[in-house]
Amino acid sequence: MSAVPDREAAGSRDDDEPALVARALAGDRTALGILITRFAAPVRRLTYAILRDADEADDAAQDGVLQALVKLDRYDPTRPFGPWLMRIVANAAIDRRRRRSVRDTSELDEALAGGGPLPDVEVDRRALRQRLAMALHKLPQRYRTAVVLFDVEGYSQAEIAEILGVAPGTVRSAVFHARRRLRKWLGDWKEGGGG
Amino acid sequence: MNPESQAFSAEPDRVLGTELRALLDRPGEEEFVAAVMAAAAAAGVGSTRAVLGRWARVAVAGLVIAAVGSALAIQTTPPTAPEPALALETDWVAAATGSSAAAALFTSENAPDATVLYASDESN
Repeated sequence: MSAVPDREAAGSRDDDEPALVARALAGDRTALGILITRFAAPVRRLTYAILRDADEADDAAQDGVLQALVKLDRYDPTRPFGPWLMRIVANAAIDRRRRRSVRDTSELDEALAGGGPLPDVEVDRRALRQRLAMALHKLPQRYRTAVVLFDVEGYSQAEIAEILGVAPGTVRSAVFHARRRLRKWLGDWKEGGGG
Repeated sequence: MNPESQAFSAEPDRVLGTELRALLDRPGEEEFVAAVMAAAAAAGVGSTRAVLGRWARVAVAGLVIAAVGSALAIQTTPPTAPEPALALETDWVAAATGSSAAAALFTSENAPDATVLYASDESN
């Protein structure tokens, strides 16, 4: 598990993405594979944060990435590839979310609740994650998406504004409120002897 | 500046980011990549057909632009006057034929006048 945002952990690779796109457009399947592999984890996290259902998230991520690949020739190589792709994927997930009512059952909670007896440290960690999952679920979708793009994926406010189609000030506000609520819920739990 | 702007840190919160990442990461990345690659191949992404199709679109667009440009150029160019027929020097013709009537006949831009012809016959 990395302790730094995804783009930073991966190194600065934005500059070679236009070349990969050009190669993919020319029929180079290796370049296409590199692009898809590079963005697989971020797009799956993003759609999971929006949809909160693993299967639907993967379907939305696949739809979004495929939509982007089909119109890859419309990508402007003078701009970063990541925000362009993430915008298409986010829209695919948001559209899917609008088409169905969000289930009340939290799959994240279920995923974290399983298993048998665990060491104390692992119990604490699992409990923390479960608490964080609940806190994340309570956030409005816009806050959730913004904080994941900012604190997990490492996109700038301007890039997130482009991805979500909102003003940079709206992103700043969403990240601020999301962090405050998450920290408060986690803090309350820790102070209450949970962690 | 409002309190929200003052309190906002423009740097990613790495502790929170790490916890959220662990929460959102799931197994199955290889399967996901394989599924997307297969779907992309089925959709013809990067295929020879797609590459040729893209070039064909560019070529067709270029031809359309060229055709429209040519049509506009033809419409906007003012009609040019027809080049005058090579004028025969009246004096040269008169000297060669010894007849001013012949000179008038050959150098005129109008249809021949029958009286000129008759005048020519009479002079001979």
